[in-house]
Amino acid sequence: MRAKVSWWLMGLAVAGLLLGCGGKAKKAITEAETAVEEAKQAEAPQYAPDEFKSAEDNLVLARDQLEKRKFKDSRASAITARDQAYLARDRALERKKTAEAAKQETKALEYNVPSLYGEEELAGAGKTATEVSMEEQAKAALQDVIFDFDSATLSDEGRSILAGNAQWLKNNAGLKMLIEGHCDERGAEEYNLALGQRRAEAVKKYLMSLGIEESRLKTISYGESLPLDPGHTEEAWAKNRRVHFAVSQ
Amino acid sequence: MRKILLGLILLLAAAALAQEPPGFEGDFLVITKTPQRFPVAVPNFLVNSTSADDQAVGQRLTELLRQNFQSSGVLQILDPKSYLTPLSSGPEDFSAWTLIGAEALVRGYLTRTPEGRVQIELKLYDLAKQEMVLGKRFTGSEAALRQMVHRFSDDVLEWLTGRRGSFETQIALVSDQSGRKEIQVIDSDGGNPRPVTNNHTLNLAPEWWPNSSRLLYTSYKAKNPDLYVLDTFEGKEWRISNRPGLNVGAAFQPDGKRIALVLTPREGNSDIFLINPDGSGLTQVTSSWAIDVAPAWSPDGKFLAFVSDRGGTPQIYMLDLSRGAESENNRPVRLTWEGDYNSSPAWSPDGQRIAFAGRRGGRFDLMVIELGKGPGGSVRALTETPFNEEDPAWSPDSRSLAFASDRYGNYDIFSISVYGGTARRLTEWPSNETAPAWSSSLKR
Repeated sequence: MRAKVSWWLMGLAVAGLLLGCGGKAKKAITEAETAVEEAKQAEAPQYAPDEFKSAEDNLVLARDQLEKRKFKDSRASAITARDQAYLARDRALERKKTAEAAKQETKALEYNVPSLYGEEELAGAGKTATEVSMEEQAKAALQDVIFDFDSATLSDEGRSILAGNAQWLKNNAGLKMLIEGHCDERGAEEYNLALGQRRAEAVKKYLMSLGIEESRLKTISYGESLPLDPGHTEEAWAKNRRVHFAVSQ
Repeated sequence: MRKILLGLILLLAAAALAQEPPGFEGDFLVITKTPQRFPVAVPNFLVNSTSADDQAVGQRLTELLRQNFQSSGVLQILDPKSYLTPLSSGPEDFSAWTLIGAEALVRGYLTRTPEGRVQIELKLYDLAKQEMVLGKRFTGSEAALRQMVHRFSDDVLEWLTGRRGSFETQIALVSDQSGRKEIQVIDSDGGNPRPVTNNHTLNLAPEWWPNSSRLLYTSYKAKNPDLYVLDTFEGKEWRISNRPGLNVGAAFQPDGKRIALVLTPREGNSDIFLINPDGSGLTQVTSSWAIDVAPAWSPDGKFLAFVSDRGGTPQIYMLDLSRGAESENNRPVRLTWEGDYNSSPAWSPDGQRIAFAGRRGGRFDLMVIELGKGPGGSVRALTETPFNEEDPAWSPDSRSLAFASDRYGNYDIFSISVYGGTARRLTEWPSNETAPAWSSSLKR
């Protein structure tokens, strides 16, 4: 009788253990599924694609291991999947927030940054998503170079900015750039067109000396016609005496 | 005429002083002394119609005549309050006009034709001879009648001075009304504004094709500053220069044979070139490693004035084209030596002077180089205002200068007589209007 009972108990315990292991794995998988779902809601596939993929992969693995009754492995995989999914979710939320803030900023910037050929093209009409995002990346990465009044001479600061820009251009070898020369409003329009051209060429020459192929660099002068800051102060003028970079079409 | 003039000179001087319109402070610009202002009476139009509209048209045309004559700098409009003759359509009582000192009388009549159209008659009387010397009759819309008033004003100036006026002309300009820069055309009095370009990019530096309704300008419409021609009459446009880089500052040789143009073929360095009006036949004119821009022809087509910073700052230079392009043996002559920024030369059609914009104390003033007065001529300021005066452009009769000024906050186009006086504001829009270009006379 005692032996029977203990056998039963043992049987229960073993079943419990077995079931427990399978159950724990299943429970972990359910949790991972919830986490993956939450990550999806947070647009992790877009904003944290690596982390999200890892979560999904681990979830698939966990299910597979459960089927093969490798409960311990399955549970571990499921937990990894869950953790990765939450990481993906959190990172996605964070990146989304930053991206939106940047977008707002870009929007404000787009409003300010004079572009001659219209909003439609800025917004990327007729372009693939990659091209648009390259343009945005270029916009964020490539800084303007500022010049003195009636001067096309690169300052030390200008040269260091161009070194950074050149590095970015090397990392993005496929892109062609339009180097725009601008002037402040003071002075004669025609002279400023010539000065803007000279500034753009000075920048082009320097980028070439840093190893950027000439075929990737086109210049244009807008003279005083497209000020970044429409004000009439020294501060505004300083901002407007610039060379600006745009992705060439 | 001379005798009467001499006899009345004191009286007139007093009248002239009393009548000078209140000017913008510091606006007084005299390039050359007035030979003598002809005292002219311009009474109100006699309107043979009870319609209030017709009365108003008559009033506006009277004002236009007076404005034109006043702005010419060579006529003195006698104060209408001094006119003794009551309005009448009977025979002229010439003594009533000579008594107040008039040498000439300009009469306008407005009637409705039986077909219901507005008709005007304009007459110029020589009061010394006591006879009508000019008489014109026109029918048309008010806009057409205004143009006829301009033509008649030119006729009057020609009869009185031997030189036609520039009233029946147009001024092309750049306006940023749309947020971009587009070319517009206005009449010489600022009336009848009409758009020329509408491509929502940048359109700059208009220049008239001599004796033609065609305009040259630089447009960014094809994503490079290229040179275009637009026939404002036919509405046709074509491109004549699209070399990589700048194609700007087009200036027609006065005989219409060649165009001077700024191009940047050498590492973005701007030089002046000549091309044929169809865009062919490229010839290089200047060859420095400096900025060379803003070519302006002498009226005989033998010299080019231009702006160069080859001496360190933008200054006005002159090249003798009859000796060929710039070379060791044909160096451009520097004309301006004062100030660190002199630009926008404009050679007067009579060949006597070059107007330009010079920066003094941080602001641009109109300046002039009197040619033939010593080597390189003598330079003096035409304006000394606390504002900017830029982009001078001569009227075809060399009697007026159009220019851009920011005296009302934004840039507007003004014209002023070389004989001095107050600048006439031609644009009163809240946008910036710059780069005026004055057409040749439409007639003759």
